[in-house]
Amino acid sequence: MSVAEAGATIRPRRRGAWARLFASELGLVFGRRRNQIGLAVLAGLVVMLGVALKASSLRHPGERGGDLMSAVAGNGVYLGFAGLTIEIALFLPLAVSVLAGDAIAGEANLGTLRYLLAAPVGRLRLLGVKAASLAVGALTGAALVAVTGVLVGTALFGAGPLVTLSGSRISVADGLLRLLLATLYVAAGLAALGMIGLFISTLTEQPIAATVATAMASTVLWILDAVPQLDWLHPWLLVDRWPAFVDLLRDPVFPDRILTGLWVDAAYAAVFFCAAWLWFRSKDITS
Amino acid sequence: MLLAGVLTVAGITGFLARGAVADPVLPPLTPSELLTKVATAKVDALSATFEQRSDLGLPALPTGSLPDGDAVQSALAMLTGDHTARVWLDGPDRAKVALVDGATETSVIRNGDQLWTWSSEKQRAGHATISPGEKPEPSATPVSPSEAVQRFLDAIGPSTDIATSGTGYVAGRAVYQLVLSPTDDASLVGQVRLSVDAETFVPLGLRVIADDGSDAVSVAATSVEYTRPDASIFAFTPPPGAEVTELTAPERPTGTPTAGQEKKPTVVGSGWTAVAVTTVAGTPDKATSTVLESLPEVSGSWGRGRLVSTTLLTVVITDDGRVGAGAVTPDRVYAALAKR
Repeated sequence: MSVAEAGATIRPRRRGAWARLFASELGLVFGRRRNQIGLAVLAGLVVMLGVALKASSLRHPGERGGDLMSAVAGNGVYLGFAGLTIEIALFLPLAVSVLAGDAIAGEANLGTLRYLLAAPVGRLRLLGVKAASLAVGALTGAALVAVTGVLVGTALFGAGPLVTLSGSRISVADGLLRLLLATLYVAAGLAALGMIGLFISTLTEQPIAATVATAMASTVLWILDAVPQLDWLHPWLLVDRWPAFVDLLRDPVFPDRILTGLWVDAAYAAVFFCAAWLWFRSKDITS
Repeated sequence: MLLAGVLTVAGITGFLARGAVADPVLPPLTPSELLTKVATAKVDALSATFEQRSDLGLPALPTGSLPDGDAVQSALAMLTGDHTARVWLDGPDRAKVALVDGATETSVIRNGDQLWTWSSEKQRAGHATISPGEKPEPSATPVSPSEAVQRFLDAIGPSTDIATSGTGYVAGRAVYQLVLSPTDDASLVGQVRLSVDAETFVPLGLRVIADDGSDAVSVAATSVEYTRPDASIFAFTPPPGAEVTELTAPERPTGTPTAGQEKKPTVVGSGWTAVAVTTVAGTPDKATSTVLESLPEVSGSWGRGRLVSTTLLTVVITDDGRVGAGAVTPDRVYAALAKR
């Protein structure tokens, strides 16, 4: 405690330091080849989905179900929502897990963590920058899926007024606004998962171990959420309300589940960020 | 940082303790006064969200064995698990109820003389015109609400303890609670609790508590506003590509019932412990027998059969095609079957 406090008073209080550290962190995250490939995979899956739906709509013209996938055939903008739906359970959490593994454990593994801390940078500030970059990473992943979906969908199926789940029609602009909100909502959930990953990342010096553990945590949450016998537990699970972004496709928008979902996200993020800080503040940085 | 931790813990505790607010103090009402107020309550406009939770303890049926899209299956789906419904009311002839489970929406909309049904899953709309002057439900001999309430209380009185039991909050509104408890021990229903808004006397919640103390069915508002909903909510035009069918009122069956149709059930006993006994003609198909064979076998002086025992309902299907069902212990169903 006293060491940390002492550090806080000695540390030069310049606002620029925060921004510089954050900018260099983002540069590192987006500059890594594996992260770039990861983003390409996220986008590629949406392209694949679009092409598959196009092929199936050519083979069975006129056939139309009521789910999001079928709605794509009538309107390309829906591919943004469909992309989020198929990637929310596995690929987006996996991408966040990779970033989280690199966050602290990766630096420790490369031996760069002590140099980061040797510079006049407090541990809390470092952790804050890592958390912020994870949130940016989560938003980038979700936004890439949504934007790719709209572009590919429009190219393959054209765009027009969207039919909501309630059966009413909304304009393309309204639809895109709702897709933006859906993207932000999905990103908030992924950022909360990122905080679980950040905590795990402070526990180990093996980035792969942190990545696998975070991906497993997300998978376990999804499995628990699918077991009907545990329905009393479901409202407390991070991922339970993630798919609720489809409530934005109702008319009028049904905000209840989304708002509760945001509270759950915030609670998980706060708890795990605090846990990460409690562990990291007193950790021996030997590498 | 410690502060953030403390705030988080405080926030979570607050979240958990939200239901533990002291009960509101309301002027006491007798059950009959409360029910009369409910019967005479006038609600002009309302927007609300209701949540239904059911835990009937139904055995998990192999869903694949049931015919797809079957009425039985959708009824079972409605009876089990959790459901969320949004309700809008505006005056006597504009209403909308939308079931918003998962990524689907099923709704019924009434706008003046226009009635629409919508299923996003099937992309199917149904339409009907309610002819002016025609009431959606045929009304019985008109009686004053207080008289009707008194008749109801007299009817259930002998078999039921009725009490107003304290107050509480539902969807942030102060409510009265009316408790009906069957006096007969054989009933599987422990209690039925009705929550009524203390200001508008709109029922906001219903809980059916099984004899073992578990919540079998609970329907409760999660939010309610007594403001006029936007007129656009009641306007429905089927989207392009949707299948639209004209709904017709089901015709009353005339003449002899066709083969396979169930006969009218006989009711043994009355009130909470009534048992309905009916005969199913014909032999069950393969899918049905698979389900039946997975159920425990029971036998007695009344014959042999299969038992479906849930927290709230007992059903016995005998090998000779009789079905006895009631919200009672299995012994009562056996007794009813033996009477035939």
